Amino acid sequence: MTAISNSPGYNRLVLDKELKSFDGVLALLGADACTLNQTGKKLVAKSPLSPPEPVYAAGGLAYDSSTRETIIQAVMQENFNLANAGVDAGLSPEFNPWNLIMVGSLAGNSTGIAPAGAAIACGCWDDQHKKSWQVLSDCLNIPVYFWEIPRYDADSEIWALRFLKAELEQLFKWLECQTGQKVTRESLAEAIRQGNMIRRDLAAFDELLQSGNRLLGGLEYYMIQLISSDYLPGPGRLHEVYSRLIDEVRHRDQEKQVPPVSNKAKALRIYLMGDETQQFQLLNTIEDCGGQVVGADFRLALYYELISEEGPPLDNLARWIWKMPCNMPTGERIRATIPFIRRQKPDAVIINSTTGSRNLPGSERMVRDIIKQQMDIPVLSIETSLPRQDTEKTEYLVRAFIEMNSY
Amino acid sequence: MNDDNRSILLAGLPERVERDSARIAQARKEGRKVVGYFCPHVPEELIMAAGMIPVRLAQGGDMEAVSAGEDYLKADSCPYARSCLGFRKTGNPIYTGVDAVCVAYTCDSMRKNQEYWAEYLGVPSFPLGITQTHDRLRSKAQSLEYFKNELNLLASRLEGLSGQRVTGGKLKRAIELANRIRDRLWQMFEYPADRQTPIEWRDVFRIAQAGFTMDRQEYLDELILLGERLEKINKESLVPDKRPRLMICGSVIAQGDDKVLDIVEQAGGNIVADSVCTGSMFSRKRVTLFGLVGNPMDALAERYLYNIPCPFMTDLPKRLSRIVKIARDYNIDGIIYYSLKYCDTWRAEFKAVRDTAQKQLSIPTLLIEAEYSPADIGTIKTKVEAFIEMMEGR
Amino acid sequence: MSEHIVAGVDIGSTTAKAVVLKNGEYLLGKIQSTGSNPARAGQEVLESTITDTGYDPSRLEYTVVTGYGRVSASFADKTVTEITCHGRGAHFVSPDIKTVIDIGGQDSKVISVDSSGRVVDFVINDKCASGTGRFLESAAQLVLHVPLEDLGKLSAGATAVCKISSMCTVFAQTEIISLLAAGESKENIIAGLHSSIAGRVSTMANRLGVKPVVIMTGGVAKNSGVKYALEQELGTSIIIPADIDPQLIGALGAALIAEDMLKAKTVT
Repeated sequence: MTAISNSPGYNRLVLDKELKSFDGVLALLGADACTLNQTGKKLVAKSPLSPPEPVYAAGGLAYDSSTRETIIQAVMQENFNLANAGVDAGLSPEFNPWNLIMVGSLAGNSTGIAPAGAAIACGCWDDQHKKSWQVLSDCLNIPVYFWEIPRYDADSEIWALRFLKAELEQLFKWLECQTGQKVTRESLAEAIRQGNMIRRDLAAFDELLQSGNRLLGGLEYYMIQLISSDYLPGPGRLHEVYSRLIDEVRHRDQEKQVPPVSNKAKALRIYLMGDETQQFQLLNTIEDCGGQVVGADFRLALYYELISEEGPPLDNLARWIWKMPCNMPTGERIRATIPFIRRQKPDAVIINSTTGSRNLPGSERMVRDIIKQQMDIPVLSIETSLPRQDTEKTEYLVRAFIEMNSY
Repeated sequence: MNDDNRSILLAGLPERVERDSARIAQARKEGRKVVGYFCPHVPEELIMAAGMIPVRLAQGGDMEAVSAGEDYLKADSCPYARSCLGFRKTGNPIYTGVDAVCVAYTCDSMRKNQEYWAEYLGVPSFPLGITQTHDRLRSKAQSLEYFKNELNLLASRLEGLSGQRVTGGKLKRAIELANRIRDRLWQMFEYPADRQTPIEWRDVFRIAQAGFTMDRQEYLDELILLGERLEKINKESLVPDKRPRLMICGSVIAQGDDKVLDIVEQAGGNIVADSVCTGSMFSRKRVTLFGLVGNPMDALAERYLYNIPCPFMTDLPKRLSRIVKIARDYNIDGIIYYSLKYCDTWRAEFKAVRDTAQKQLSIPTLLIEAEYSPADIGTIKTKVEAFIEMMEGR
Repeated sequence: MSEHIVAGVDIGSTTAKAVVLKNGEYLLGKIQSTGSNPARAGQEVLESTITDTGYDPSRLEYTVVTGYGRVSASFADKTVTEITCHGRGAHFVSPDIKTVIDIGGQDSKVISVDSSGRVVDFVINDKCASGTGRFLESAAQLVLHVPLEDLGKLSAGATAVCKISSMCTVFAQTEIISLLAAGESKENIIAGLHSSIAGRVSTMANRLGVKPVVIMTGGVAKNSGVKYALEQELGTSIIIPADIDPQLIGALGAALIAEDMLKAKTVT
């Protein structure tokens, strides 16, 4: 039993009851910051793809509020009216629901917490996140600290990294003021080492999905990815949860106890891209229609490679951040992502756009074209919004897509 | 200002502007290259110093171009960004007449704009990185250094295109020309602060936009002529303008996007000041060369990094104080906040602007969210008219 | 000043209204449907109202026209937006009014006025039918087959408020059909519709800040069910004009402005 077990949204989902250690993930998914902060450390909120290492190096606890608030409030509790609260706080009604719900929830303080401070990676992506933090900071009177990741351009590496290191050093100083703990070479190296544990775990899940058997359900995989962005309740504990799960799933492979997927002899292997969706049921739907989720690039930027543990940690961190796929222009990003996609051996790709989101959907045409060109597999584009909005339409598209590609 | 005065002042300008695409085509035939840019963070001076013709691509208000842009961006995206791509597809002579574009790496839509030009529209598309965190005390040193390096990179790419080196001397000459243009324009934007103004803001705006595509030297000559004519007008003889004084803030008001401005004019509002990047903000600050031996790149970096009030940057307090200052200097009665639909960055700052205007100036702010389609003219009219009635009732 | 009459005409998209004042006092008001020719409808309702007062039309000294059809009304001495007019008209009904909620056929507005009836702030919902009379009309007439004027009475008999989750008028109709098929009573569904519309309008109103005393104007003000639902959402009681039809408030405000304009003219 977890915090979300009684929520209406949760009870619409079909989860793999046989997977015992998945309880660990559910406990983390539905718990809010207060519950997760058992150690009394300073909570620092951040955006999903901003690397958590700096916060941990300063002895704080990172909190991906956009993901967590939305999951708890919109997906599970179905408090959709919080989007209105987000608009009241000053966001545009045309913003995407991840941000609207986050601001609506935190501004109204529904989860009973005000994050200690807000530091966000204000690099090369997402105006809406930036503005959401600006508005929230005004609303709640909490400090927001913008730090910046310069755009990726091979010709600019020397000064881009110099700039990024300066930004990181100043970020560390600000974090120190929040947590009261200095960032040292050792604490940064340790944070990187612990983050790499999580990266290895996430890569391990991807590897498990490469199997011809369906060892892990799409919805479970999605949730595993979603809770990875802030390492809560701490990288050590998260690694334990992940490890137990990886072991149990590997065991399935050996014992050949795989959960059933559908009546189709061979499921269509589907790789997911684009925006994360609040319509968690989509992951069930894909399987109901005869598809199998074999990977997603939603959080790939967080574990695309390990941060080097040889040499100066600041340099390694800066280089790793600068080369995150989400920091690259779309063409380079997709070309860098394709090797990862290929490893999962998909038959098709589904790209999701969330209504109101402009960053990723803006590049969807290019993504679709490049994938088709380079991988020659079919691509379906869908649009999803708040949970339970227009889901029949999406289901119909997914069903038709899987059918037409299964024969 | 009556129509006679207006026609005298702007005589010749419309014809010159129409001749621009022909002039550009001619220059290209003679071997000169044309480089377009969208956002005033890109220093024109670099393009000029590389021996090429700069044009600012800031057209809009055309539904066909917006639809054409939807081949790349989605329908729920900034109509100006869609137009930036769409005009190339609909065969607009200025947009199809460029040999390359420079795109400052600003808001999400502009970044996508840069990518689509690069991958799909067949000409080089040079990105210019720009920093957005503007806490000057903290980040100025590394931001300036970064931006200067980006400018150098852009300069070398432009050199590669034109085959001509960007030297310090050429830069200084380009800066001087651009400064003289900026000075003249800025003077004109200052006239409407006075109720007895020889030229209205709307006309200065038209003049500013005309400069986007004109030959820069000819443009300067035209501005000097206009300036002399304005000086000759005896301000005391003018009837003081009693209409409610408005300031317009918001997303880029493109050339051809006349809908909202026309509605305000017809409703009896008098726009006297602005904080839009296609208006006075384009010419606000000059580039200050630091002495005879100062490096012109440093000067360009200093001016182009910090001048434009684009809300993709995080310095909201600075934007607010600038709006307050302008509102005070120009005796503004109300602010029209024209946010293009789906312009996330401007729209998210409306509340802050409205609250600041209320608190510090006790003036109201009207939000207009619109696309380029004429479908919402009726409702915008009602809002604007009601807003002006509100101010007349005070 | 000798006896004089002025008029205000409110040409809306569905109905055209006229109000005649004598010496600044309310004399008469009438409503007719706009049809396809707004200017003519405005002219007709004005003439019809004056005829009914018994005064000769030549005594009409000033006419102010408002509403969406004002742009085509050549007989107007002045046009003013319905926002200013509703503010003014509401203030005449009760000088304590600080917030006016006008739910019309095609749009809904919330207007803040000060103690002299001057507009201080306003917000309009013109994008979506779901906060307007159109929402109720389409549901009542197309699906429930109930006359509009019965909606309030019916919702009073509801045993529960049946939640309508569709935000769009068209999808809401489909939802109502399913609810009816599932055995939900008309009364409960109507209560749900009222709750939906009240929810949309109150979200808009809260953006402005709702200060008592609050008044409802426009056609939907006659629906006691919507009034009740709005009071629940806003947590404050709402006045409905009693001595004058709520649909006439805009025309009344226009007429009052006409009176002002006439006085100003006479003085100069």
